[in-house]
Amino acid sequence: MSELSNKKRLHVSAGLMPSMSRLGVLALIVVIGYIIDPVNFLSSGNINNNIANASILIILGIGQTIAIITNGPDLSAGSIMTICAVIAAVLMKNYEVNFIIAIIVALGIGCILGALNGYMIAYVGIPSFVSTYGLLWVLFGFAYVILSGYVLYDFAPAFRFIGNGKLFGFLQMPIVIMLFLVVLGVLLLRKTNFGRKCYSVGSNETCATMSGINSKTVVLRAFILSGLLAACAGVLYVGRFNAVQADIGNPYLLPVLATVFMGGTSPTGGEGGIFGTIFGALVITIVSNMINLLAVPSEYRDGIIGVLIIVTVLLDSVVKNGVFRRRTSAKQSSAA
Amino acid sequence: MVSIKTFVKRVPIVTWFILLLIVFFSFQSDQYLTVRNLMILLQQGAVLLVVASAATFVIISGGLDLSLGGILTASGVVVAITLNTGVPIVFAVMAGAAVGFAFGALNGFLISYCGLRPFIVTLGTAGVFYAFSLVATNKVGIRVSNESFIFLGKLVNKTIPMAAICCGIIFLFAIFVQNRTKLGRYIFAIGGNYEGARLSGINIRFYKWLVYAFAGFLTGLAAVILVARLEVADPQVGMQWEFEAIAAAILGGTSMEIGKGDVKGTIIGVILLTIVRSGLNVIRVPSVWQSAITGLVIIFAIVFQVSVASKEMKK
Amino acid sequence: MVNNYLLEMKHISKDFPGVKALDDMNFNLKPGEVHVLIGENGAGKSTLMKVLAGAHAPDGGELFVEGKKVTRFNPIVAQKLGIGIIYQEFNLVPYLSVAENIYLDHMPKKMGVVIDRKKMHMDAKKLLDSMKMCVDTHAMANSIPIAQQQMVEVAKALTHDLKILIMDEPTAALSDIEIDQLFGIVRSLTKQGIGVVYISHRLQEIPTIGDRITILRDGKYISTNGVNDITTDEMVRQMVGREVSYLYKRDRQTPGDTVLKVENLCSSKEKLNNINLELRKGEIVGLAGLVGSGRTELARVLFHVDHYDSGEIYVHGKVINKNRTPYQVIQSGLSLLPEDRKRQGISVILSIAHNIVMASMKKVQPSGLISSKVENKVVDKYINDINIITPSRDQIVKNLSGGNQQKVVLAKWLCTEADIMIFDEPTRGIDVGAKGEIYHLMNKLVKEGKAILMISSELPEIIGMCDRIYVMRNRKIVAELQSSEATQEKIISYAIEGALERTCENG
Repeated sequence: MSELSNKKRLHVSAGLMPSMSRLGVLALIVVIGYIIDPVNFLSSGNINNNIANASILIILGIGQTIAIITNGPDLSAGSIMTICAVIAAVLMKNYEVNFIIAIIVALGIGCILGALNGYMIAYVGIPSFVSTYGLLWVLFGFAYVILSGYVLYDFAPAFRFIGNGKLFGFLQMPIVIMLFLVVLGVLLLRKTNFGRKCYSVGSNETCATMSGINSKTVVLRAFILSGLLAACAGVLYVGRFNAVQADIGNPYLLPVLATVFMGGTSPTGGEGGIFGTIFGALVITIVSNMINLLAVPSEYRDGIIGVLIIVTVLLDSVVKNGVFRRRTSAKQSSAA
Repeated sequence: MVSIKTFVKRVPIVTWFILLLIVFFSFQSDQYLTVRNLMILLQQGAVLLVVASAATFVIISGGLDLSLGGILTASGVVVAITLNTGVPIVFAVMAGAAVGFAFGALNGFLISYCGLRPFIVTLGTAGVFYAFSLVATNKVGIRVSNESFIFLGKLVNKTIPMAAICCGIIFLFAIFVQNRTKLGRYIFAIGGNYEGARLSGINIRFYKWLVYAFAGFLTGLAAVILVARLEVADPQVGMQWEFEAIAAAILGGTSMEIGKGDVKGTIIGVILLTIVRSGLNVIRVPSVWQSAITGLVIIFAIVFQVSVASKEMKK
Repeated sequence: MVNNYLLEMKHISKDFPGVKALDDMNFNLKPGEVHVLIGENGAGKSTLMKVLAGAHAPDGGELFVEGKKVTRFNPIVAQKLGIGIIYQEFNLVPYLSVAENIYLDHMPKKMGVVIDRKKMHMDAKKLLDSMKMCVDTHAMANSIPIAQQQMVEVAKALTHDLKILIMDEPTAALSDIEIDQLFGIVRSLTKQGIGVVYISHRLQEIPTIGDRITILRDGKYISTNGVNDITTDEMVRQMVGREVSYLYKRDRQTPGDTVLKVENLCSSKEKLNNINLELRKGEIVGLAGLVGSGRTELARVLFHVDHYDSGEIYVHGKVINKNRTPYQVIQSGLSLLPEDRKRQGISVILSIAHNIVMASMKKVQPSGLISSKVENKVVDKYINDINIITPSRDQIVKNLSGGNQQKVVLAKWLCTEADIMIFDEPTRGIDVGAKGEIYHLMNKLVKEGKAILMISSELPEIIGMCDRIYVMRNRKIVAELQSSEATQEKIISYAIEGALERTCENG
């Protein structure tokens, strides 16, 4: 395209149009869900349940969104979630520690592990992909060893209120916690200096450094947040499902990434946001719900989610660039 | 193409690592430094070598393929099913390669012609390929019993590593493609200066598509050997393979950024990973810890590599 | 009727959605001539050439090559017609060899599939030798100096059977010496009867190389003249369409206190040798030298992005610690507009607003949280002050023209209220109209009391804008000239043969 026509075309960085298309996809899925099961699908109980289930995914997603915008995916988030859950559980069960202290310890460990990730990535220079993947397995090993194959269950009711209680009689606690964290997350990304720096560092680290931003500390903090939020997710999991074993985090790895990317966050960094992540989480959760309702065999699940991911980003591309856009002038973007 | 000198200069750190590990493990077991064990190691690393080569091609072109494990699994399933219908082995092999090519072509289409990001696309298609495998096998592995087929992956007479030989041939083929064919040269263009190559009159979009199709093709071939070696097509066998393949490629000197790398070097990464895994077996580390330690080893090796590389750049 | 023209484009028009890129355009080319094409960004030069190269099909008009009408427009047809084009941005593949780059789209093959490496390198060597270039054909394209890379691009074009060669800003990255080499090659091409279309923003080199010059403006054809029949001022006037007083307008004034002083700066890593310089309030000081003389390295060291070993840097009379971070340096009042503006100056996928406030976030956080109202006010102020042309402050920077992108970089640093500004090649690749605006801004800034250190490879620009000029050669400062005594010849002579040399060893 000539420079002239570029001047006339408006590209809004907030991505208004893709957001519209995502809302459209969400609406479509809800409609399909309603058609499948008119009675139960839109009942308040079902909606509540769906969103409560999605809460853990969303909380993990917030952490991932921050990490990916700033640098890259935190593949260890699922394992951080597991180990923090395990440690909290062990403290409460085996050592009779007060649950509040157990939660604080768990969150602290999440921060420390996140800091470890951040340090390796920002200061030692390992690609996030590799570093977090390695930590994933290390933590999984630890979790396994600590539990020695056992399942811990049956925790104090006060603690379980976090996962099962209802505020004011109808608002499920997971949703409350999730909303609280969402609000904090959105505020952080949009309204704080740190959040801005995340976008700056993620989109062009050299430019950020030359603008006076200490990109290393920004990356470090981003991963600390990811670890912290993973720990939150872990605590919430134990509270809700009242049990913990060594592999609770594993099923979340791919869905969390899918959630974030479906939400429009770019693997190359610098773009994206939490609202998109919420969209992704809702889609995945609702679709899983629908799969259950339809008694679709579980082996199709990953395939369906895979197709959803592809359709969402295809739609994104079509909306942003027009149908059958020919990439004659824009540079091809590379991978993560 | 990288000359021998730069190859040697780039690789030493990881090589010392490997030697260190070999020394360590040889002290743990007097069976370690035997020809027999070497053959076993070759057999274990063979399939990863091919998949990692496929990953290398994709990474050099500036992309990423997270679905290679899925393609490995799905191709294996198709091979087993085809084989069990009684057709000659050749057809089963072709079927596996064809499925790999087709799935890779799907990736390539979405990435090159639809312009979607490789990370996201292959994440999605991986799910699809694994689901395909689960559905096609009904969640249970498919056994193969065709003796001549199994021969392709067998450790014959406990001395001839057929899997390693077959995969070695495929590996050499991959090197040949990288150095001597347009596809192989153009992956550097796709990764290094896509727009420039396009403006030079090359149908670069086609080649970008072809990279993924070719990677799928190689993985399909690898699946043949894997099924032959394991004598079963497991619908979840490929899990984590894509990450190990990528790690092996990076350890071998291929950079994730800029259209730089060499399939030749990937063998070093594969050797390291194989030695670590098999060594951990030798000293009887529980499998849960194996993955953990492998992860740690990858991290350390890459740390060293990165720091050496950055020291070189500062010169 | 014998047609003497190699190329004739008659009444060519091309529309893009909402924009008439080419409007009744005429252009012709004689065999063996160098026909210069100038115009502002958006004037239509690139579009016209893309039509010629087959990248676009025209909506109206006719195109004749060697008298024959062209009916199909795609790169392959254009190549067959003997039309070659060298784009401004390098099309070399960094990790492929020189030979592979030259033959990228038509590598010689054995048996249809396997590349014949021996033949390829042999042919490449022959070609480069004929161009009087000494380049290792096995070298990776990114390992040879930029000037040689440009020549490899030329070689690449020459491997096709050329009748017409289009060169888009071929000298942008070359220094004067390398430009001479390029011109030599162009002349040898024209001697063979090849016609060259030469697009350039560097008006001063046109009389040296061009035979005729055509000026475009806003998609329309304005005029064609012999190069010696038109003055530079007239060229600019026709390009810009309005009376443009002498481009480099400076209100010279008495400089104030020293704001930046560098003493005996040495850096082993950047190989800087005993740098001494001084910058005073209200001055524009130039830093001249060949590509590779160390100017950008010095700028980066001053800004503390790169490390230095010994020496002192004083800002406003106070010493700056060697270990300061860029952030602290910015707080002291320094700023750097980098040479590589797309990769270091701005973040292309972020919005204009985001970029402008990137280095001065405290300004938009009156109470700890970012206030959109304050941010918008600040951003709009700079957009207006500097005249950044954009439909909205949220426009992504990627889509702006080079000149506007540079303005965003400038806005970012103005926003930090820096009073010492280092400009590294501020007008490279920018059209005349935007250039004039930037010079105007620079003049305004120093009148307000700021100090500017300007690195430039364009000698007329340095001589026209600066009060004093330091010349660098081989990572040392070898001369300091007042503007009154500075001439292009003097600067070049210092840039090549140093007059004053002091090393760190001699002290």
